[in-house]
Amino acid sequence: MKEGVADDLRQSYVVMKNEMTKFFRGKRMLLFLGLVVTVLLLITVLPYALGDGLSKDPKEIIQTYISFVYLLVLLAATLFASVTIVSEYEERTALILFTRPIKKSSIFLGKFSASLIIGIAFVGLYYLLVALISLIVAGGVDSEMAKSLLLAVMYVIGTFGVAILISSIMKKASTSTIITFVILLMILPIISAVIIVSLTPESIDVFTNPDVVFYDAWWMLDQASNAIYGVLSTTVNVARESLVMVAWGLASTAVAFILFKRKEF
Amino acid sequence: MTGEYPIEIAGLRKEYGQFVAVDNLDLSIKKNSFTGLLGPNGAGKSTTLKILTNLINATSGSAHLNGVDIAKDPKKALMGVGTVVETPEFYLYLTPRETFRYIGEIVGMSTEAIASETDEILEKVKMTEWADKKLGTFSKGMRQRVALGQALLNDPSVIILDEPTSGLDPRGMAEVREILKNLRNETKDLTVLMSSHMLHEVSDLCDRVAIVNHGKLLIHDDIGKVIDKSGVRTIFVKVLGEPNGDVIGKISGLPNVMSAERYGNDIEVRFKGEIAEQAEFFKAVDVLGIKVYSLSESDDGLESTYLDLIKESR
Repeated sequence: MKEGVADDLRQSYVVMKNEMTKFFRGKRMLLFLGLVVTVLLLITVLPYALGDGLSKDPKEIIQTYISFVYLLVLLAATLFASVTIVSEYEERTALILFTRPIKKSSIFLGKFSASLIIGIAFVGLYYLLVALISLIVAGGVDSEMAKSLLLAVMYVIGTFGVAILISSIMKKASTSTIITFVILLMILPIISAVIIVSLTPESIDVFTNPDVVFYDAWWMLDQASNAIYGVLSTTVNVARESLVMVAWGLASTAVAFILFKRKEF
Repeated sequence: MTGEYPIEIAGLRKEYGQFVAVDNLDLSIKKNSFTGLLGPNGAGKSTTLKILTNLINATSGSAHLNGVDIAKDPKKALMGVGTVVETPEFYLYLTPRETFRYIGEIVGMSTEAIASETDEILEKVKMTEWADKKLGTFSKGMRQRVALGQALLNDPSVIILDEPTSGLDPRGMAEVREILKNLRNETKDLTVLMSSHMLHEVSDLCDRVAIVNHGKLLIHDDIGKVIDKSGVRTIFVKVLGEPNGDVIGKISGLPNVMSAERYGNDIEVRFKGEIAEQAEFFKAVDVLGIKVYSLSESDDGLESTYLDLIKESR
C-alpha cells in the first residue's frame, strides 16, 4: 500500500517536472515575465521621470510596489493554472498521458503543484526584488512585508484553485483563460460589492452619512486579498484572511479534482 | 483463461443518453494474436478501445487487461500495455527523446533502461535522425511514428491501436504499416488489438479479425476462417509473358478452382476452400510448369464477408 502511494507521488513529481518544462518553454512564461518587468520598471522609473523619484520611507516604497501584487497573482493564475487541465484535452496530449498506468490523482497533483510552485516562486521573487529596491533607495525594509508575503502566497493558493476549477470545466484553453481572468478581476469583486451593499441597511445614505458601517464580506476571496496591501498600513487579521484564501483554494481544487476525475475524452 | 486472453471484454455497454455506442459486447483477444477490429464509422470500435485504455468509463459490463479490471484498477491494468489512440498529439516543446524519457519515467523505467530502449525504438520507428528535434516541427506521419514508438516503451505484452493510419497521407500510412509489420514479425510475446476501417490494412497486418456494428460483435475468428464464411477467395496469379488459354485452362482444372479468367496480364482465380486447400493450390500451381512470379490473395474475400455481415446487421 505504502509502495503504491510512493509510486503515485513519484509519478506526480514526473508530471510536475514536465508541466514546469512546458511553462518555461512556452510563450505564456515570456508574456508573464514581460508584464512583471514592465510593472517593476514603470513603478521604479516613472517617479524619477516625473518628479523627485521614489519615497525614502521603506513603508511607502513597499506599499507602492505591493499594491500591484494582486494583479500579478491574478495574471499568473490566468496564464498558468487556467490552462493546465484543459490543454491536455484540447491539444489531445491526454491520449498519450491518460492511457498510461498512472492515476488521475497523480496527474492532477503534478499539474496543480507545478502551477502553484511557479506562482509562489514569482511572488517570492517579486517581494525579494521589492525588498532590494527598498534597501537600496530607503536603506531598510518594512517589518510588515513578511506578513504581506504570507498573505500573497495564500492568495496564490486561492486564485490558482479557482483557475484550475475553471480549467477542469472548460473545453478550450482560450475560453478558460478569458473566463478565469474575468471571474477573478471582475465577477468576484462585483459579487462582493453586491453582497456588501445588500447587507448594509443604511448603504443608501453613504453620500450623506459618513458614519455608515459597511457589511464585512470577509469570506469573499477578493475581500480577503485586500489584506495583502492592507497589512502594511492597517490592522489586519492575518490568520483569518489567510484561512479564507486557503479555504477558497482547497474547496475549488477539490471540486476541480472531482470534475477532472469524471471528465471523459 | 486470463493468460490465454490478455484482453477480455464481457457484456460491455456504453450509452450516451439514448444512443448505445457499445451494446453488450463480448470479445476475448487471443494471446500473441494480431487482431483487427473492423466496423463502419460509429460501430463502436473507438468507444471500445477508449474504455480499454481508461479514457472513458463503461455504462456496464467489464473490460480486463492481463486479468485486471480496467474500471477497478486502471493503473495496474495498463501496466505492460502500449497504446496509440486515434492520432494523439504530443507536447510540442519536447523532442522524441524527451517524450520517451517522460513516458519512461511515468511507467517507472530506470534512466539507463530509458536511454537504451529509446535508441532501439527510435531505430525501429525510423526516427533516429529526428531524435533531438522538437515535435512541433514534425509532420503528422512522423508524429504517428513517435506515437507508435512511445507505445513500445517498457516492452509491452499488449498493444492497443485505434486507427493508427487514420488521417495520414499514403506515404505516412505505408511507413506506419511497415513498422507494424516488422513488429508482428519480430516480436514474440505480443498481443495487438487494432481498430481500422481499412479492410486491406487488416488483411495485410492481422491474423484475426473481429467485426462489429451498432456496438455488437458480428464475428471474431482467424481471418482465413472469416473469409471462409463467404466461401470464395480471389487469388491473382502473375505469370511471365501474356497468360494464354492453355495456362488459364490448366489453372481452371485445379481442385477447388471455381473459375480462372484473364485480368490484364494477371489471371484472376475464384477459389473456394479453406487456407489448407489454398496452400495445396499454391503447391499445385508451382508444379504446373507455368512460370509464376507472384501469387497473391485479394482482400475481396474479407470485403465480401464484411459487407454481407454489415448488411445483415442493419
